[in-house]
Amino acid sequence: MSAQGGITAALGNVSEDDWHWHMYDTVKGSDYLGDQDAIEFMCRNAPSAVYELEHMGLPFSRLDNGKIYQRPFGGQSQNFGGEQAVRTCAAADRTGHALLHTLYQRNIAARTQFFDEFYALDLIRDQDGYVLGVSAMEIETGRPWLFESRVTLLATGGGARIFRHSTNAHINSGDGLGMALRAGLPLEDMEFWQFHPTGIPEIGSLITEGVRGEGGYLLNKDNERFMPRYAPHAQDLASRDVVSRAIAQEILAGRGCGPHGDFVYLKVDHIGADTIKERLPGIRELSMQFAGVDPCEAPIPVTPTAHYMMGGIPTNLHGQVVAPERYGPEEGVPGLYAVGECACVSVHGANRLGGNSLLDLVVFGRAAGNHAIEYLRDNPIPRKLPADASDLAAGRLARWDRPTGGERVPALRAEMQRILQEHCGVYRREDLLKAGIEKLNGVEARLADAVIDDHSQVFNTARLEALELENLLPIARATLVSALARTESRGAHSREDYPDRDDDHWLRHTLYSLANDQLDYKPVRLKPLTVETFQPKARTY
Amino acid sequence: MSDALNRLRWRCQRGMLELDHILRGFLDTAYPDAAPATQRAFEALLAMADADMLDLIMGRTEARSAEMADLLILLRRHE
Repeated sequence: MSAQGGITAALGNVSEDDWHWHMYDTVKGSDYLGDQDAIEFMCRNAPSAVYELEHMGLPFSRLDNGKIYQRPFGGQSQNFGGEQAVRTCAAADRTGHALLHTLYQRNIAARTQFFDEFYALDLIRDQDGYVLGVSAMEIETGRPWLFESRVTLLATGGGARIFRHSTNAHINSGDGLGMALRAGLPLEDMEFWQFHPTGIPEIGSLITEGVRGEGGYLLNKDNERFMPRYAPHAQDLASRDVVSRAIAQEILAGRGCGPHGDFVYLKVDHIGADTIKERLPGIRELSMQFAGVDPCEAPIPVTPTAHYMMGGIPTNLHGQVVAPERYGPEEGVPGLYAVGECACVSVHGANRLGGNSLLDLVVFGRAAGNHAIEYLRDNPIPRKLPADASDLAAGRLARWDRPTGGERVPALRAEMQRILQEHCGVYRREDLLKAGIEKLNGVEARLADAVIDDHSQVFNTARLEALELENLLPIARATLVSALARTESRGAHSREDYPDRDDDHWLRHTLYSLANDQLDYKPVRLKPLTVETFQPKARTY
Repeated sequence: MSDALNRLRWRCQRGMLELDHILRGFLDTAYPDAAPATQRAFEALLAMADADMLDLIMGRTEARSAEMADLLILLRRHE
């Protein structure tokens, strides 16, 4: 909420810029795991996508000369690693909100029919692999529905609610990912999750880097300013992954604060109450509301907090879901598309740059729409629904109608979140990951006997939470299993026991499938569409 | 649980984490015993867009009615 946000495009309104420089930054930021053809496609198409949004009416902030306002973000450079670039377009501090409204208005104009209070349960897939729609539940009545469609596009967001500490709203339960896994499709690169270093414990609200930019610094329980030990030069202003790892190290070493030793303090009161009120008013509001602390008087408790999922449902440049079906690792799944955080095209690779997530969903959302139009033209006749189209969803719904007696869903969800936080957080290690999988096996076994107390039909949120947990658990499993197998450190995936990046063995994407926790791999697409490959090299800033 | 309360619980699920916490906290702890005017103000609040709602709760914009102003005080207390 407090993030400044924006959408990155090399418009060159503030500093000289080039889409090719944006591409370089994105490839480097991804720690060379991003597919370079997809990254070129995204960065090349970024300016036209932003102008299209502008013409639709998105109220971008403006420079004095009337052009779209752009601000500098971390990881942005001119001339392939040179001076800081100013590349991220913004509509004040609510770009995502403005984008949502602009696109919603376009849908109204196009007379799109919304089924607002419906919850998608599962994909309907026939024996030839075609996706023919989804099963769903009407939330107001509890009634099951089948939506028959020649094209289905998943835009269901990420699943960072698998972690105890998450910046994500509660609706981010990764439903599309669960649907994909149950339909026999793999998830790509699920070991890569971005952690923001300074979230408020339990709540998850972000305390922006701007606090440290104004002179704030981190303290452990011994009142020691510890960042100079980890980043002697940049100290508290080091990059997100570096600061997150440092905080995690302090907590693991028993130097965390609070009764459970699971956070550190961000001290900022020394810059003075007037300065805080003038320059950080929003952060002060957040801290007082959600941490119960006025930063003018006391330090803010913070901890690394799961923020963004780099992996997801594998897609190609057209937003079409791809899977190793019969002839190769990237065969299109007919009738199925995925866009946004739930998808992995992969432009973010092992680490996402700020400003690239809105761009990802806009560029590939448009590409998916264009491809879907062609697909519908080429496939004008609906295929016959399989006789068992509703069986999976009906079974899932009926399962939660059992009488009460077993464990409750919220307790199991909390346990899963604790397991992921403790065993697959900022730092990973073989023994920790294996123990995490064992514990998760136990939670999954107990889910089989779990119950909900409310069996009513109207807006039954207890049932929804149970169905969401059925999606979160396989995402948690995919994360743990994928993280255990990747014996290197790359981007957001930090293995204590394998601290170095290993391009000889791991310049490849993970593909996790639910059946027997199967892992497959496919090579990173190092060849861009038209330009030369950016060869992997050490990622330093 | 009553259908009406379930409906409100559903509407407390928002696109912002901070709103999830504030709204669910209030619904679970204070709403059932709140005065009818406060309950009506809460239902009116839930009809707002996320960003507008947060501006109100954080005090960046002013409530347009006394009932809403009273509700906002309670919401901030019950997070």
